[in-house]
Amino acid sequence: MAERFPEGVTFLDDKKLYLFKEGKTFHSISAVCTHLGCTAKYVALNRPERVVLGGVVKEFTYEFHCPCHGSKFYGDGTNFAGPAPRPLPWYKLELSPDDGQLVVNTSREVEQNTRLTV
Amino acid sequence: MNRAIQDFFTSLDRIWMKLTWTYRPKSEREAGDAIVRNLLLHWFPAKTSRRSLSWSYSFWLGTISAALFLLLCVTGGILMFLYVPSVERAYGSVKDLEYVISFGWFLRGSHRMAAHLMVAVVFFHMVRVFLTGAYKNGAVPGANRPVNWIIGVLLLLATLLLSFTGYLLPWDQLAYWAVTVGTNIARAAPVIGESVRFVLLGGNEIAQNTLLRFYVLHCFLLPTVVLFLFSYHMWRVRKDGGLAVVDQESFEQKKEEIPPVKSKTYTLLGIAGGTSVHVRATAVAEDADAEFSSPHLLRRILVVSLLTITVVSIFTVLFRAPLEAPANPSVTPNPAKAPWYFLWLQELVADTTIQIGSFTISGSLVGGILVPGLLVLLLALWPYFDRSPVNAVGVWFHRERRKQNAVFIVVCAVILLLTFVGTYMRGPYWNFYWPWERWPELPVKF
Repeated sequence: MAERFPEGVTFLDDKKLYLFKEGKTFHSISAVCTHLGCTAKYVALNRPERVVLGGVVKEFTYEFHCPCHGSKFYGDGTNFAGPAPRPLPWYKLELSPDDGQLVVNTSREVEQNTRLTV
Repeated sequence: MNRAIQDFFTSLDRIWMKLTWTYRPKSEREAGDAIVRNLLLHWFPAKTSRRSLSWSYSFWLGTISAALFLLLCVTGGILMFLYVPSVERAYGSVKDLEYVISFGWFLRGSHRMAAHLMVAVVFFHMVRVFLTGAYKNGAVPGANRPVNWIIGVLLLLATLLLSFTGYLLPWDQLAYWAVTVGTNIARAAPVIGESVRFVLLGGNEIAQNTLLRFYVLHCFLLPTVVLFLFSYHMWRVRKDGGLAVVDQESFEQKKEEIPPVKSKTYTLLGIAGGTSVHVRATAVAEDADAEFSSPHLLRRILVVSLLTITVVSIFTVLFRAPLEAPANPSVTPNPAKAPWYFLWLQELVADTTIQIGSFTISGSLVGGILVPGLLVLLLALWPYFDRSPVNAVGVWFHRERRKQNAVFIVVCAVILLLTFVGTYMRGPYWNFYWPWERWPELPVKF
């Protein structure tokens, strides 16, 4: 059930992804580093950082860092340091029509900032 | 009746002789043939020159590698009785070895220590052969040392693959993430990458199939490959006139204008009819500077082997083999480091992602496949690029080979430097730290 997730970030370890809940909106970002497949860790920042990405100013309170070869990703998954060649993908979120459970479709990547509101 | 009993006992005696192989040569020729026909004795000449017996020319690194391989086969064979190649039980069986089975820690530890030393010794053996120009053909007709150098490069690769497949077997965190990274590097190969990874993993995910595949590779396929390559390697040394240093003796003797030694001819064990192999035991006059291989060569081989076993045993007691936490597919250790001999590659894949405009080539392809692939190819084919004169064979740092020796040393030094950086200067998130710096205490959220 979607509302049972805590506010903020949850690591779903069997799916290797991070699930974010901000009030009624959800989004999920893969934790599998795009370089060689280690699990990138969620790193909370001491102070929020402002970054200009694609002409838009974004503010992040966390980043993802990979322990294997030092790749670093912004809070929206965009790679900015280390060897990772691509951003961390976002996954399609849906509500199951049968019982209203939150479903992550790890075979369907979606555009960054695609969020599900319930 | 009497006769029948006698026949019966005669045939029993014959069968007994066949079973126990009580060999009684009838002539010197037959005894000589037996040695020629015996693979093990075929490796060594009847006499060995004093210079190739010297400790300081070869440092006996090849012999040490062989002794380590033998030790690995023996300890590995016993370990196979105790290890269970199943995802559920592998970790437990290694833990039992470490804490329950009498001297299990010593068995596993010496297997691991011998493997570490073998990687180092095989590497230094290659360095020695390069710096002495020992891959060059010398005075012996029909020599083909460049081919033996290529066999040596293959043996180095096989040694590394054996180490890689070996440290996966405990199925701890080191193992799991090494498989993850290793097979993803294979996936980065153009065109065939995906299928290579599928074959290595036995599927799309790291699971039971993967462990079983690496187990069979480690315990059966790769050792068999090494055994065949190693046999050929040794036989080739013999065919090429022994160690390269012997060719120097032969050059010196030619200057003294001693008539060439008559070569012995043996038939090729009846395999290739009509053709014969010229076996020149040495390229030099036999009695002047040579000793009988038995006991002089054999005794030294024995001493080197015993010393090797001693050193492995001492190191095993001093440095206990680690066992990380059981494999956890969702959490990567921080930092996640390969064993030391792969850290230069880990450093390479971390540093070689290239960005050209909006086009990105991942470090997994550049540092994981292209750079090491090119290095190995260049290494293997180097004898064919080496244009130094023939008298540069078997001499340490010959002046005619100064430039290529310098380049080779620089490449080796860079690899060793990257290994050092990866080992001592990389901390959590693969960040750079000086060796004397303390790593920060990181909060663990996931």
